[in-house]
Amino acid sequence: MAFERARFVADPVAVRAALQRFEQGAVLASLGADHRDCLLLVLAEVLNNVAEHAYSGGSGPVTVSLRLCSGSAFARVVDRGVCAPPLGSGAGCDPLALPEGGFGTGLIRTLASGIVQHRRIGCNVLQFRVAADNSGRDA
Amino acid sequence: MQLSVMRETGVTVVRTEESRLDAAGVLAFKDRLREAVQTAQGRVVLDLGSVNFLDSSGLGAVVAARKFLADGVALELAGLTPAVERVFRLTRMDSVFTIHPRVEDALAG
Repeated sequence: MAFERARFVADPVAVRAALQRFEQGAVLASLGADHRDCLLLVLAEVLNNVAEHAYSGGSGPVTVSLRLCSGSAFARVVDRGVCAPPLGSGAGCDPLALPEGGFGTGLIRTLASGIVQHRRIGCNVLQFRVAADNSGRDA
Repeated sequence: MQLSVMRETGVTVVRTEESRLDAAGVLAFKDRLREAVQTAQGRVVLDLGSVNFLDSSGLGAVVAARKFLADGVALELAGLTPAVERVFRLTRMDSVFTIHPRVEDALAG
């Protein structure tokens, strides 16, 4: 079972660097190209949300844990920012969401499953999984 | 964020030189793209062949780029890598743009 964890400041440059480190890490190395791309995209959207919203324009830490188990990649993202807005229950992306933004939540909901958000000891905790074998959804 | 611009009669080809179009680079991309296309006439073809990672902020910048164009100028896309094509498809933005497999196809069309 591959596992890795990273802790960094939630800003766009650090998010990019963290994603590039994950690309070289044990969990993503175990995945095929399509599943790897999907996991990186969901992580990017989740971490961009933290960078944009959690610290209200400031910056703070975020911790990402990745675990590969039973044909899925499980992710856990924890930040100490303000209470995160729910990712909502809409079905996929709204094609009429033409103004900039608004695409990220749809991508998360389309590519990730088992999404759980909760607040714990002053932290936002977001958990999700992305299919990591060929039995998964869109890849 | 580097863009190269090639102008021919009736078409402007703008090619990205970066491998990532993400939140960290999106402001520079929008600035460069605006400079590249605001005086374009006819068609603008954005060649994304170098990009192997595009997130929603990058997608938003491409979608918003249409606002930089003069009336009657169309923004078309070419050279989408599999990861980039997926983002356009899942957000249904593939129905908003004319998408060519390669720049050569765009010029031939």
